[in-house]
Amino acid sequence: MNDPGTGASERRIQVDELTRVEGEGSLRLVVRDGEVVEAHFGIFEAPRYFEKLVVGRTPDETIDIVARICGICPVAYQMSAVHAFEDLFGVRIDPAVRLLRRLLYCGEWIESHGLHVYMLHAPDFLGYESALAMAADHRAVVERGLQLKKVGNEIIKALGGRAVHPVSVRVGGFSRVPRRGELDALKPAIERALGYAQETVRWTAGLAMPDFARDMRFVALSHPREYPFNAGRIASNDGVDIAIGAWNDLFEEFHVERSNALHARSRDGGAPYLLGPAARVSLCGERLHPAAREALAGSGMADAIRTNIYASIVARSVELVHALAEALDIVEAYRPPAEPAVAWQPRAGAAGWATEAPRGLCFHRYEVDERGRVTACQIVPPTSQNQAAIESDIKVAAQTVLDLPHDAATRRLEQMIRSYDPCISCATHFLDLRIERLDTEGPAR
Amino acid sequence: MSGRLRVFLCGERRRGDDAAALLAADLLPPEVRERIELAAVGQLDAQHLLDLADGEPCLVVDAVAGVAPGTVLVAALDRVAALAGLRHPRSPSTHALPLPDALALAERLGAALRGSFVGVGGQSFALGDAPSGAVADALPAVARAIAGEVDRLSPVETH
Repeated sequence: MNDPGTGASERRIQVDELTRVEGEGSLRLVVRDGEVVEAHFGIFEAPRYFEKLVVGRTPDETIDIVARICGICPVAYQMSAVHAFEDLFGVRIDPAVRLLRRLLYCGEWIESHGLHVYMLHAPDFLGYESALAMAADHRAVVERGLQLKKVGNEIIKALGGRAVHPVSVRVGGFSRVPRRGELDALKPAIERALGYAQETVRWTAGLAMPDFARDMRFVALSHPREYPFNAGRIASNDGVDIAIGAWNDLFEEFHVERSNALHARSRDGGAPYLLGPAARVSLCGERLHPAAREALAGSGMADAIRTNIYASIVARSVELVHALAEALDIVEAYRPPAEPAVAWQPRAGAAGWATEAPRGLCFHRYEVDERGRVTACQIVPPTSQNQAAIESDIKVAAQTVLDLPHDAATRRLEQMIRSYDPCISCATHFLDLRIERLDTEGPAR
Repeated sequence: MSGRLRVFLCGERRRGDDAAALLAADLLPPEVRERIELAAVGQLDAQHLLDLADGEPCLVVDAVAGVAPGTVLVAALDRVAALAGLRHPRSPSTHALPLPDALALAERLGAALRGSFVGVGGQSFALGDAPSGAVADALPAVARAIAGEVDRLSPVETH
């Protein structure tokens, strides 16, 4: 439309309900005189108040409650919470428990990445509106995705008692650990799925990627010897290197009007940063399992993953290989710990911890009293942190789709948002509620 | 395969009328329960149907919208998508397919869709809600419908 006063033209692209993302979100774009002036990734899913729900709860209750934040990545919430509590209480877990927790995380990555690559993101690349429509022409592809997801679920179930919202993670270990035979039973399915994952890397690397290139600021956990799940330091490709519990030293959350999810930014005013598979593969690629390193090298997509967010589907596929190969190693070498959990004593204090959810760094911080009851809680999920990068990228990408018909431009931008695999249900776990009251004397707070 | 009829209970206990399948299953008499394998699945996934043995029937129970609250529906599994006016409560997760899509995907991937669907009309599916009066009143009828379909799909063997 044209502004009668200035003659300036304005075009609006609005997607009221984004599909194939977890939760309820929208996209609003304003283009003025050929320049994208606003890109708003809105999150209107209702706030969920988990940070208040856990106040007064014991650490083990809290671990099960925060798992309820997400049905796709409950393990991430359990892992960040349990490690924060163990750090605070000075708990040293059995090395076998440490491996089981990595295995549990492998299960979650396999289930989540398998779902996203095949059911949510692939239809964009192949021109289908859904996985259901895609299945008519690509039955084997969809079956492969379902098989991968199933193996992830089976691993989570073996360790956590059930595939969704597992219930076995406890401070000091697990409430129950599997017998050797239980994990052995998973081996054939994991081996088969590893082959599917390697095929997934080849397949996604061959998909036509929309052109997009920009320098990305990556943030992820970095560990000197292992691909990051539960340990390491928070690092970036522009020099960040801080302790795993020190997220608040460098980053902060803030509220924006259009979103029920808090945003996050670095306190030094640095560029928006990206978390998740592309960040991890780019920052920690040399610590991938050899099978995954080989798959990445064979794909020829390592450079594209660093600059083109659409190529995150390949990064996610490479991590599928990693998670399955590491799961296989852990299962083959498994020796049950002497006890499922070590004893621990609560003490008053505060501690933070971050782990690598499928979508990236998930930070928790807890304050507890002398009985170990939670008195304050902060949870910073990856999607909250990725919102600024999503908006920043959308603003750039939108410039490249302005000549496309409206529907095609909309589809391309939705595809870009899905490249981040946003989990809106996670991001709306809390809203900073402020009530401003006005009286006849003037505004009062 | 256990030899018992697989009954998939869809829904979430804490989401008002969405709990209908789970609550109705609680009312099933022991002689019915011993002939079935109950699976509380939250949302039915295509994989649940693909995991059934070739030709193995199953029963799916869920709350639905688009019919009067408390109305009990019974249909063949392969007719669910075609039931006029029927809507399924909005999925709490967009990472899972609505029931008709999950059934369609399973069928497209080769599942036979043998079996039945028992639905009950609901009106409130919000987190934290209690089941509505209409659905609470209908639960015994839902349980009877489940038992009836168990008899039909998995008749008791007489010797």
